[in-house]
Amino acid sequence: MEDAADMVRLVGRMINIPLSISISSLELALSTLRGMQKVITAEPGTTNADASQTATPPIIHGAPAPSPAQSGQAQPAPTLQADSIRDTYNGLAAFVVPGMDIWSAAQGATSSEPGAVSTHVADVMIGVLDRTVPSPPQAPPSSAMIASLLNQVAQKVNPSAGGNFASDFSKLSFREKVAVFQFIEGDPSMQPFKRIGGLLAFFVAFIFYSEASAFDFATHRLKGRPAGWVATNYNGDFDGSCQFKGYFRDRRHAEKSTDCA
Amino acid sequence: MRDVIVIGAGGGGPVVAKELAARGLDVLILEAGPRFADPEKEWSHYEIDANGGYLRFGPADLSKPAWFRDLPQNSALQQLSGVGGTTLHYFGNSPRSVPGVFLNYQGADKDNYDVAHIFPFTYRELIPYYEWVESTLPVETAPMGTKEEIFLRAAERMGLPFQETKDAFKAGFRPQENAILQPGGHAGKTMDPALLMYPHSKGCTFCGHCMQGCYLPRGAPRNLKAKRSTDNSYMPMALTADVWAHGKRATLITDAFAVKVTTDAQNVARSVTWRIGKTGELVTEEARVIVMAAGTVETPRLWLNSGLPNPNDQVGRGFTDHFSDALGGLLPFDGAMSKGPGSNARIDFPGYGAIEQFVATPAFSGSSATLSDAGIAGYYNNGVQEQGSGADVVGRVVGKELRTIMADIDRVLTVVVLTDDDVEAQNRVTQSFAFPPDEHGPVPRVEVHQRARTARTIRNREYLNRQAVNLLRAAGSYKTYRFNFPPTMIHIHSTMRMGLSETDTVVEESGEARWVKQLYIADNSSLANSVGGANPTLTTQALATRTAERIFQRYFGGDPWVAKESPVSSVAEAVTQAVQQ
Repeated sequence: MEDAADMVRLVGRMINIPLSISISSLELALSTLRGMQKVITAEPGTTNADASQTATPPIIHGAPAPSPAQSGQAQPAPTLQADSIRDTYNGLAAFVVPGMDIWSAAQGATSSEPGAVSTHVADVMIGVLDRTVPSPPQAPPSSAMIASLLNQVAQKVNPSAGGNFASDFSKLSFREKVAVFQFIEGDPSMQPFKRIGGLLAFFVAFIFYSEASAFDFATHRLKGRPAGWVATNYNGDFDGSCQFKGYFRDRRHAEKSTDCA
Repeated sequence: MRDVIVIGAGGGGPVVAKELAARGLDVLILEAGPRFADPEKEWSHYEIDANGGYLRFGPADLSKPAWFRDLPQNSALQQLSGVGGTTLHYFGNSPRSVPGVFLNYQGADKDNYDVAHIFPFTYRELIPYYEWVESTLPVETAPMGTKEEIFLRAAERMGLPFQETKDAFKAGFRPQENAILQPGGHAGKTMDPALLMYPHSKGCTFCGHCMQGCYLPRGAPRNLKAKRSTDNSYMPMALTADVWAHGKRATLITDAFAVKVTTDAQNVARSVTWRIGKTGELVTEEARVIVMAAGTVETPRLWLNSGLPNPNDQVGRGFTDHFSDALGGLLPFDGAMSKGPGSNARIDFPGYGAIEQFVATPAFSGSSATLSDAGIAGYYNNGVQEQGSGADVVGRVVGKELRTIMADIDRVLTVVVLTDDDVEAQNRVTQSFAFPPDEHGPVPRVEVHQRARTARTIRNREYLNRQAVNLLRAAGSYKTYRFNFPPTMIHIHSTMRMGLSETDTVVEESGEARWVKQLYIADNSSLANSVGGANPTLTTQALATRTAERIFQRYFGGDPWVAKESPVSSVAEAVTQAVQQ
């Protein structure tokens, strides 16, 4: 999308996304997921909160998905359509920064203000992943591979999730999306990709809250107020502020120490 | 033959270059990244345009991708190329190290430090070098704005003593000692662009964009820009040393990535080969002395890629990073948290580390809240057990909770934890085996054993987090967040460390490499330890000054100068005139 082009150019200059993932091992993991019979559940009670907070109940779904052949051979990779890829990253964007869009509504976590979906974060993520995470020849682009990972884990979390989305991940509730990341970050089979969960959220937040949505790459100026700045009540495009109040206890200089070890 | 080649124009290299150029030596300084000769045109105040755009670890040609590093664990590495190096986006924080990490420290808490990895000389010995650098940069007591006052008053309410000296012997709070010029004229009192121009404004204008590189006040000569990153302080002095001193101006070559240091049969350093980014051409030049100042990751990488001797297998080992963490507190009032310098207030806890205030800007604050490897707050923790910081929310924040914390940036009091972390041999820089070499040779692999740190490191981090939560509440926060970062490598050190023993060090106390003569290290990598959690740049620069003296004495027959001369400040009129010529 043209609106996202400047954003992709801006964000694509960032350091090589430090995923350090091997696409070939991602293919293997995806194959393993397709052959997996179990339904993924969230582990109960292992929260970081104080004891006063209640434990999270496990997510349990209906019958497991039909088991594939037990040959041990890799299942052929379903080809993700562009719609499905973009749909997946919209579901991700809504998960990290909910808004007023249909992906946020479907997950049951919304906001009264525009979220990351509204600022084309999905297109930026696709563009940046494809540009900065190398994919071997003949393999699908990196954005498609990572979207496949999210969708295939999503199928295991809730195989019967409904909704008019091309992406299985986008059909999930917010808590079910949490289970997806919990699995990716915690299951031994996902060891090479455990970083993906945190990094994907990091990039969605970084892109949304930055100047990216209003940055004019040609002029290196803003063409409006970025959505993330509106969301945070921030206006930082100035050379100075009126914040100088003096020196704490009127002390402008530190003293030399008289005690020296 | 050149007298000295300095590899790297970051925090330490320009210090050596300036000191030796001022003595009349012929100094070449190589920098892999961009020149940034005109930051008012090249830079901006925007977060992604800056960090990832022009500020990154990458080639001078910004259209080319950044250079790759192998990080085999969930972590983030923040280093920059270009003249100024990582000081380009630093906050100018220039505390001295805590005295407890030096030889012969006799305080009552002397067993509370990384005692197995102390500096091989006393703290008292380094003080003249600290004073020299503090005068040169210069380092000044940070002014106070709204957010600073909130932090400092909260520390008062916690009952902490107010620290009035530069030396942190005991726990105490204070305004930072910053390499940032204090505001003058209209600076900090106006938003009028015309009045914010030099000379109507001088020093820090309270813009809130330290992280994007400092080019203010607009119109000021380069050496009078507010933040004293080395591009604004030491480099201008090095390049004009024949004018403000009876020296010889240093030569700077940018877009020049050093790929090899060669030695002769007696293991004496002889030459440097570098690759010109624009053309791919390799250039080699000899020098009497070579100084490696490419940083904590790139200096060991260059050493290993050059095949230099490593008989005790210590090159690259002992990586320390302050195992940093970040916390946020929601205030019921406008705290102007996005306005003003990056960090102007701190609390030191010698033996544990430090906590400091951090400016809140949307992209960095929002992404910091999502960075944790300890699971999604309220749902799962990836097996990382919270150890009682007392924060209301711990871990990665997403969804509606993220919107809550980010709803008004000026009401988020942000604090960073800097842990006094132990040197551990298992944390290290090596050559990557998982990824192919790039155009400069084998890429570095930065391996940090996640959360498997020493008990003391963990104890320190948890202690500082508890103190930080106490501070947030003392400031009036009604909801507190601990983001529980993975290794977030902003301050990195000690991979080519000096120390007391030959078995676990790479350089001597002079900074000279143990097994290669006429080769010195003058960046954070030569630090013996994590300097007790203090921001490392000032200590590196003091050490680099001392190393410059050692070089001059040993190989050029000269006398040391720090004890008997007075330093010229980088903002002295003579330097300003030299820069403007």
